[in-house]
Amino acid sequence: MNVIVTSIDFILNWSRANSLWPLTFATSCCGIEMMQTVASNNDIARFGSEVFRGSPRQADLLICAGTITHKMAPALLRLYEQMAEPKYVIAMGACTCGGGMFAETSYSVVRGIDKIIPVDIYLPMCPPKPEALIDAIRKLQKNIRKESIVTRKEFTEKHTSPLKENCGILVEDDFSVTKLGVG
Amino acid sequence: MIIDELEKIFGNSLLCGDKILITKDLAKTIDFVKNNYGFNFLKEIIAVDNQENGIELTYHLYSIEDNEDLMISINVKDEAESISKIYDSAVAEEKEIYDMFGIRFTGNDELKRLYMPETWEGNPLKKDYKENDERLNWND
Repeated sequence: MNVIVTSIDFILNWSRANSLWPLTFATSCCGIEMMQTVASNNDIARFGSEVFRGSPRQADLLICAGTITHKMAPALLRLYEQMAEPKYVIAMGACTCGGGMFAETSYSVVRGIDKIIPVDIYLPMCPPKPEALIDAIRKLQKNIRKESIVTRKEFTEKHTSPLKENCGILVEDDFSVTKLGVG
Repeated sequence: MIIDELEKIFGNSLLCGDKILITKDLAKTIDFVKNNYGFNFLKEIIAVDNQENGIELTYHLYSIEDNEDLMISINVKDEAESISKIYDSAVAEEKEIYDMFGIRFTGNDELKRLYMPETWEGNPLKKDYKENDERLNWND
C-alpha cells in the first residue's frame, strides 16, 4: 500500500511543483516586486510558474503581495476558498507575515494573513526583492516534492480562521458582489 | 471683503487666522459664497477632533477663475449640515468623515462607511476611540 501511495505522490508532486500557477493578487507595493519577478530580468517562468491567472479557479498558488486590511479580509478568504485544491499560499512582505510597520497601532490592518488562511511560506522584508520571491517559490517547490496526499490534508484542516468561526456571517454580508452592483 | 458681507447677511462670522469661523447656517453660507464669489471647487473637508470643543470641520474652497482660496470652518458635536447638494464631490468626503469621526451629515443620502467594514464599531480617528472590535482580538 505504501509503495503505491509513494509512487502516486511522486508523480503528483513532480507535476504540481513544476507548474505552479499564481493568482494575480497584489494589494500594495509588494505587487510591484511581484511584477518585476515575472518580467524578463528575473523570469520565474524558469521555475515553472509563469502563468499568472486572473481567476482563482485556475490558480494553484496565492502570492499575497501586500497589506491586508480588515475590510479586505473577507475578500481574501473568499478568493482562497474559490481556488481549487491543491492550493498553496506565500505570504509576501512584512505586512502579510505579521502586520509589518502597522503592527503596533493600526486600527485597520490584519496582523498576518495566517489569521485568515493557512500559509505555506512566509517571506518577510519590506518589500522582498525578486530574488527573494524566487527563493520562496523554490522553497515551496521543495516542500511540495516532499509532501504526501495525507499530510497535505492534515495541514489545511489544522488551520482555524477567526473570520470563519466568529464572523462567519461577515463573509456573506460584508462583502457581497451583488451589493457592490457588479453582478 | 467676504467676511463683512457674511457678517451682514448671516451674522455668524469671525476671522480666525486664515479661516472664517462660522457658528450656524453652514450650507447657506457655502451656497452664498459659491454663487456670489465664484468659489466653484471644493478642495477638501478637514476634520479635527478637539475633544471638549467638539469636532472642527474646515471646508477648503477654491475659485478656479480668480485663483483664490477660502477656508470656512465650523465646530460641531456629532451632526452637521451636508453640502453634497452644493458640491457633488462632497459626498465621498462626508462619507469618509462619517466613517472616521462619526459625524452624521443631514441631507447626504448615501452616508455609510467608506474605509472600515460596515459592521465595525467605533470611529478610529476620534481621540477617545477604544479598540474594542472583536476583529482586533486577532492581533494577539
